[in-house]
This record gives sequence, structure tokens and C-alpha cells, in this order.
Amino acid sequence: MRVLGFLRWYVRELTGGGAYDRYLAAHRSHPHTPPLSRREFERRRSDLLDASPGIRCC
Amino acid sequence: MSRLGPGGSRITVRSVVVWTAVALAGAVGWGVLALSRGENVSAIWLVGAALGSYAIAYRFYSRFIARKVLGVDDRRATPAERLDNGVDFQPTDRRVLLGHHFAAIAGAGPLVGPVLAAQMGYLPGTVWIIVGVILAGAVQDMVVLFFSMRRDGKSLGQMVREEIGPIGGAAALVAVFAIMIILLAVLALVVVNALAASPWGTFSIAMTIPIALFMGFYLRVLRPGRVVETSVIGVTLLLLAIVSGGWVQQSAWADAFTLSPQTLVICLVVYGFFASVLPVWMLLAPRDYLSTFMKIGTIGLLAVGVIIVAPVLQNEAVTKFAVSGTGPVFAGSLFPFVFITIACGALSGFHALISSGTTPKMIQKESQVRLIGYGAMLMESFVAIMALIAASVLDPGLYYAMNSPAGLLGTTPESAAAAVAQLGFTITPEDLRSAAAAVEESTVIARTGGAPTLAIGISEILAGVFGGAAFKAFWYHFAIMFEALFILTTVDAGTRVGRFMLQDTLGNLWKPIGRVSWKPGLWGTSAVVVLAWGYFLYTGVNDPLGGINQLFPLFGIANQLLAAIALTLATTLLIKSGKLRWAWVTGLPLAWDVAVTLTASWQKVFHSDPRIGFFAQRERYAEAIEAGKVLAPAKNLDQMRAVVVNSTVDGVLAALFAILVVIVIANAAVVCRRAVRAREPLPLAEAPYVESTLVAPSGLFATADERREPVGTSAGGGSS
Repeated sequence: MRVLGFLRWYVRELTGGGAYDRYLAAHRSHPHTPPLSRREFERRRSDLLDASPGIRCC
Repeated sequence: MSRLGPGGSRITVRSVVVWTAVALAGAVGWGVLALSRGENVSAIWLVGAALGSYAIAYRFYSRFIARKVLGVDDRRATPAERLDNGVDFQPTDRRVLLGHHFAAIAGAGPLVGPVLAAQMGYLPGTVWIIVGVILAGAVQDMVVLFFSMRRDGKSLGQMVREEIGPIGGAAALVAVFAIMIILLAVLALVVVNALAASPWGTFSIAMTIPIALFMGFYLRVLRPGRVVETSVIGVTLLLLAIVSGGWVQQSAWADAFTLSPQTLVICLVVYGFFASVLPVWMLLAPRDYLSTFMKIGTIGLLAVGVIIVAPVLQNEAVTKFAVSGTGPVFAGSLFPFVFITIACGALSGFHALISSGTTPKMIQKESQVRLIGYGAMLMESFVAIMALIAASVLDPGLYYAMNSPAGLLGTTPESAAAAVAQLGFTITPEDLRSAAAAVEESTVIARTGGAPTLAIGISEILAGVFGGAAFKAFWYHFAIMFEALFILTTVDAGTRVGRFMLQDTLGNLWKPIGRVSWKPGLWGTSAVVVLAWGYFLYTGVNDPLGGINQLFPLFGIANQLLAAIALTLATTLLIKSGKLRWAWVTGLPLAWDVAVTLTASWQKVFHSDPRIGFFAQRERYAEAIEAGKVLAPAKNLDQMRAVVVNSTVDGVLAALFAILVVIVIANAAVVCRRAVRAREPLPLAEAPYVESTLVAPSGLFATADERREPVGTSAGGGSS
């Protein structure tokens, strides 16, 4: 069970699936504005990639 | 394992026993490889020698580098901690970052190089992959990662400019761009050679485009952020595409997907252009997810296959081509050409761009450079060893029939069998026909580039574990698909990165081009980049002497010269920071790399043998044109002229790469001389020291001491 839990966590982290949860957690510490919706957050996150694509080796 | 106390390491009985056993396992592997002559060796000894050596090197040498040479300091905050913005600077769990970094460095390179180098026998490649990675490749990756991390994740080019000087910096920038163009062209050539006249492969690869578009739409509109779910759907569709490729091959559609190499080049160039100008979410990001899953899955599968099947190597330990330098796959003798043919897996300069890219901005603790820099490169090296095994389990006759240029082999099984016999190996025309039939391809003759050879090797190994002979065709096309997928991801991302570099540089001359969002600039620079690699790809496809034969050495030289720039930077930084006595750690690999690559460049430019020297080749064909003669393998005067043009361009490029690197090294030598003479260390462009408050383990597994401390990081484990 622990191995499966680790694998699930690992795959989620590797693919950036946990980014929104982290954003919400960080947002809670200064809640002046309502947080972005998941759709809006993911949209901004992928648009940022447009300007800095990761280089891939051979 | 030994535990690390405040004062360093405490040696325990258990750690002595474990490490003695590991050393013995490695030594037995090496012993068997060294002593077997004239008999067939099991691949398991190769695996043992590799894994044993990696474990020892990681445990002892990488720790020495981290502590003594670099002086990693976990009390110092990393840029991820100091500049955390939740976007590019972000402390990331070391195991997750290891996965990211490995996926970024490992691609088709470690799979292709060893297959071509198998021409020299399995032993030279094995020794270079293992010794090279331990003393050079992994050291480079780790040290560059460390230095970039200390400079807030600056790129290789920026570091050369700031720490060596503007001349070296400019030379490095041009070198990086030129090297990238050649790299993309050669990788694309591997794909073209694998897909030409193969409707099954072409259909499967073509299907990845609609699959990626669908995944992009799904992630953007239907289920934002659900990457795992999307990837599972994508991988399922991908497997379906591979299976249905077999049906397409049998159907009336087969003709539509039987493309000539020339048509494939046009498709790739057009595709590369769109991948560069479309938003990342549409095509690039989903492809990247697919490629990462396939990469980790297939490499794992292959490792299991190699260990279970433990295939016997059919290749010789050292072939006659190692000495004579007359091999048909690539010309030139063992030194220097094995060392440039195998780049990725042993020492790859391109990794320095990744180690100074996103990875240094995400690292939690300084000591983790050991796991991520050194560790990921050892993993890539193991991929290269498996590729070498896959190529060496093939019958040598089949290997040469697949990897010699078409001009030598002709097009029929009879002519190919005769040509292979000329080389001193035997294969019958019937064997060639049945080898093609086993994987349901029309022919296996002159399928150069390494991918088809590797795919046949992988299909032999995997069919031994999963599915038997009936599954050979599936595994063959699975392997082709997975290599093509890697390569196309590299081509996508490389074109985009090349476009950014060009926009950035040209932006200094004329502002609007520098603006990333200005459409005409974006289209113009993308077109320049795709046409640049497209040119080399097109000439490679049409070259009567064989594109891989001509261009692969250029690619290897380029990659290793980039490593020379990275190692020069690392050595300069060690000397500048007053660590002259440890400068050999990067200085010795640098000396070796420079000796290899400059010898190779020199031979490619000045060698009098027209098979090796580009200008000697140019001379020979130009003289024949004057005399109105046509030299084989060229068939007419147009092809003769093509050879003259190609060898001139390739020769000039080989010379240009070497000159650029010599400029960087000369500039660095001046700086090092000044540093040695100065009484105090020269100023560095390091970011200032800030105390760290983050706690995280440094190795792959947390030690007992580390577990006692709270792990106060974002990725705390468990599911959420």
C-alpha cells in the first residue's frame, strides 16, 4: 500500500498535478484576493511555458 | 550503509561488507569481459560490470566531488528557496527533480550512438560508456549543475561570458546555436531513415499528432491540470496506433503512408515549423508527457528484458574495423571516432545546457546536485549499455546489411549479401528476407541511423519475455515509435529553443525581433531555424555516400566540443575560486575530450583519405568531375556535384566548431593564468550567501538522521 501511495504521489508530482494544491496552500497565507480557479491557474501555467520551453537532449 | 555524522562518515561493518560485495560483482563482470576471447559472452556480465562500477563511483567519487571539490553547503539557501515564485524557481522534491532531469537529458542519443559504435565491437563502447560517464560525463553534469545553481540558474553561455569573458561568451553562443542545428538535423535523419518506405511506422508516428492535439484540448478545456488521466488516455491511444499500424500496412491505405525520404523531410520541416509557432499547450506539452511516460516505461521494460533473457552477444569484442578504420558504418579508427560516436551515455555536452537550464532553479539543497547531476547521468549511461547490448545480440552479417550505406549494399538481398561478404561477414539473401518478414517490413537493407537496428535488437529481447516470435513485429514497431517519439519531442523543443536564441540575439540588433510575441519575428526566426536543420536533413537524405555516415561524426564532434566548453568553464571556476589542487577533476576529462575532439576535427578536415577527410573527399570528386568521370556510389554528375557541395559545407563546419572551442579555451587560459598568479581568489559572479531554513534529505533515500528532522518541503509524500 505504501509503495502504491508513493507511486501515485510520484506520478502526480512528476506531471505537475500537485501544482494547483501548492498554489492554494501558498495563497491561504495572504488571502486578500480570491484564488484563481483551477482552469485559470492551469491556463496561466501552460502559457508561461510558451516563453520558456524546456530544452530536451538527444 | 555508513551514516553521516557531523564530523563526516563513520565506517560500519555493514557498509564495508556491502561495498566489498558490490566491488566484487563489478570486478567479476569486468573480469569475464576481459578474459573471454573468441567465445560468445552473456550480456549479463556487461550489466554486472556497469552496475557495479556505477555504484562504487556514485558512493565514493561523487561524494568526494561534492564535499572536497565543490564544497556543497546545505546551510546555504538554493535559488529555489531564495527566489521561490511558484513558477520557474520552486523547491522540488529531489526524486521528482531526478525524474524531470533524467527525462530531459535522456532521449534517442544514448540509443543511437552505441548502435553505430558496435561496428568496433562491444568492448570499446562498453569501456568508454562506463569509464567515460564516471570520470567525465557525470562529473560535467554535476559540476555545471552546481555552478549554475550558485549563480541563480544562469545558462552556460551567460556563465562563460561573465566568468571567462565576452570573446569566449560570444564564441560559446555561436557554438551552441550551430551545434543545436546539426543535432536536430541528425536526429531528424534517424527518424526519416526509420520511417521511409514503412507504412506501419509512418502511420503510427503520424497518429501521434492528432493524439497530442486531443490531449492538449482535453487538458486545456475539458479537464484542466489532470495530466495523469490525460496521459493514460494518450498512452492507450498510442498503443492502439501502433497495433493499427499493422492493419494499415495490410490495407489499401498502405500506399498513402508509404513515403519517400524526400517527402518525409518536407513533412518534418513543416511539422517543426508549426510546433515552434503554435502555443505550447496544443502540441508540445502533451507530446512531452507522452514521450516521458513512454521513455520511463520502455527503458524499464528493456532493463527487465535484458536481465531475464540474458542474451548472448553475437558481436566480436573488438572488430578489425577498430584498427583499420575502414568500417562501413562510419569511417575512421577507434581513436578518436568511438569517443565521438558515443556521446550521450558517456559524455554529452548538450547536458550542460540542461544542467544550466531549469534544474538548478528547482533544487532544494546543495548536496542534492550529487543525486540529480551525477545520478541521472549514470542512469543515462545504463540506457546506453542496454542499447549496445541490443545491437550486439544481432548477427554481425545482419548488422552490416542494415547499417552500411545504400550505395555499398545495392537494393536487392542478393547484392546486399554479396557486399556483406566483401566486408568479411556472412548472411544469405534468404536470411535478409526472413529478417524483414519477421518484423513485417519490406526490407531491412541499408536501414541506417541505428533506430531500426536497435528496434530489431529490442524486439529479439522483448519477444523473448513477452509474446514470443509472433510479437516481434509489434515490438519492432513499438521500439521505432518510441525512438521517433523521443526524437520528435527533441526536434519540437529544440526548434523552439533555437528560435528563442535567435530572437534574443537578433533582438540586440533590431528590437522588434527580440519581442517573443511579435508574430512576424516569431514566424521569421522559426522558419530560419527549421530551414537550417532542414537543409542538412535534406542533403543527408540525398547524399550518395550516406547521410548518417557523413553527418553523424559531425554531430558527435559538435556535442563533444560543447562538453569541452562546459568543462573549460568548470575548470576555470575551480581555479578562480582558489581550488587549483582539485582542478584535475574537471581538467583531466577536459584534456581527454579536447584531445579526442580536436584530433577528430583535424582528421575530418585535413585527413588525406577521402573516406575520412571532408576536403580530400571534395578534391577527389571535384577532380573526377573535371575529367567527366562518375565515381561510385554516385550515379551521375548531379550526385557528384552534391558530394562536392556537401563535403565542402561539412568540412567548413567541422573547422568552425573547432575554432570556436579553441577561442573559448584560449580565453579561459588567460583567465586561469591570472587567477593562479593573483594572491587572492578572483571575484566570482556567485549569488551571495543566505542562510537556509529548508530541511530536506540529500540522497535518494533519507538516512536515519535525516528522518529524525522534519522534512519541511512542499512535496511531503502521501497522496493528496
